[in-house]
Amino acid sequence: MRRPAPGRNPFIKRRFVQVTSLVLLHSSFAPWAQAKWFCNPVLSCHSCVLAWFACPVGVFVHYSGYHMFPFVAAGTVLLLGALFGRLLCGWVCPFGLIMDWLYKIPSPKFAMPNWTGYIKYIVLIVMVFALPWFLGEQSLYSFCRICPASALQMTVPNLIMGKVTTVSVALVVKLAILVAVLVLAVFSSRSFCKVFCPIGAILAPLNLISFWALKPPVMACRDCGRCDRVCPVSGVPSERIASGIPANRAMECVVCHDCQEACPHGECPSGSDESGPFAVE
Amino acid sequence: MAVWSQTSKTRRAVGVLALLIAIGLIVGGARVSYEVHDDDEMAAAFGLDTYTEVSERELVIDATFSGVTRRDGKLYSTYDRALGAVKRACPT
Repeated sequence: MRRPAPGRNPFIKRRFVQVTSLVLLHSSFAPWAQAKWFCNPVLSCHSCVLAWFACPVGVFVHYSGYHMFPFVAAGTVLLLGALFGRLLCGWVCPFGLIMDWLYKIPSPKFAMPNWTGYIKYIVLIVMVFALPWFLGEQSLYSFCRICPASALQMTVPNLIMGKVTTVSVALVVKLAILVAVLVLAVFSSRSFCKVFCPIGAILAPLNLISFWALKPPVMACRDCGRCDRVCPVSGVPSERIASGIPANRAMECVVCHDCQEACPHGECPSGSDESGPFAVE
Repeated sequence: MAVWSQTSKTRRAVGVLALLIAIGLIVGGARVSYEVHDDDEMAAAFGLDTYTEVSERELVIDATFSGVTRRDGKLYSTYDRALGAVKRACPT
């Protein structure tokens, strides 16, 4: 990896992939070409008529209600998770892109406490599996009923187009949660991804075993702390780098590669301008 | 933490195992089919219980627009399966 040229935004590559993914994932104008049997593990509502793929959370909710095991959905999520970990969270997820954009709004910033990262596992177990299993797939208490991506892609457009005729408590709650998630994202980077996202909860443990790895610059690292400052989830990658562990071997890491891009490896005496200390396995 | 280091054999073994399980689930899912019953009151009045065999792939697609619901331990279609593939928005 070469050192970024002076004046060039080192994170522009990821932003380009995120925007391209946002457009491509929601450009299905031909129903015969849709592949909604395939679960793409990013937070994007499959009820959106322009969505190409199925949302794994939506499929898990329905299969829990059916009392059946989702072979294909579980298989595809596990396959992509084992290969890439949470790389899709950092590079492909449309809701992650919205989180990144909102955090750019000037405001006081704070990091969510580490213990809040466990909330998403409770959300996954209770609202994606347990409640739909006991109350049915149409339960008002399933994750889909409060999903902010669903609210953004389905509820808000339907409200604007006048397709929603009655204002129910469930509708108000869903919109209130969307607003709360978006406002929180302005103050705390990737707060929804870290605290509530059930897809993140599924993929997080797979970060530890995935074949995608950012090789650490053990010899070249000068502990300057730049990687820690740019980490969107406050994951302190320098601790793992210093131990010789790939920077993405942490459950909260969204594998954005920002630590790699921010690393001033070219300035390190043991590094060089041509080959940096970071590398992808 | 050494177990998760870059060259850890344990990590690679668990990763390969996860990949094999994932492939097994996908291949297994391709062989599974389900009985989805028609929600036909007229047929039910005559004691007929008609159903369609759907593949795992079709059931995932049904799940994306609540095309199937579960009652009394059975799956029932919520739409006319004779219709072709069209855009179907989630009824919820």
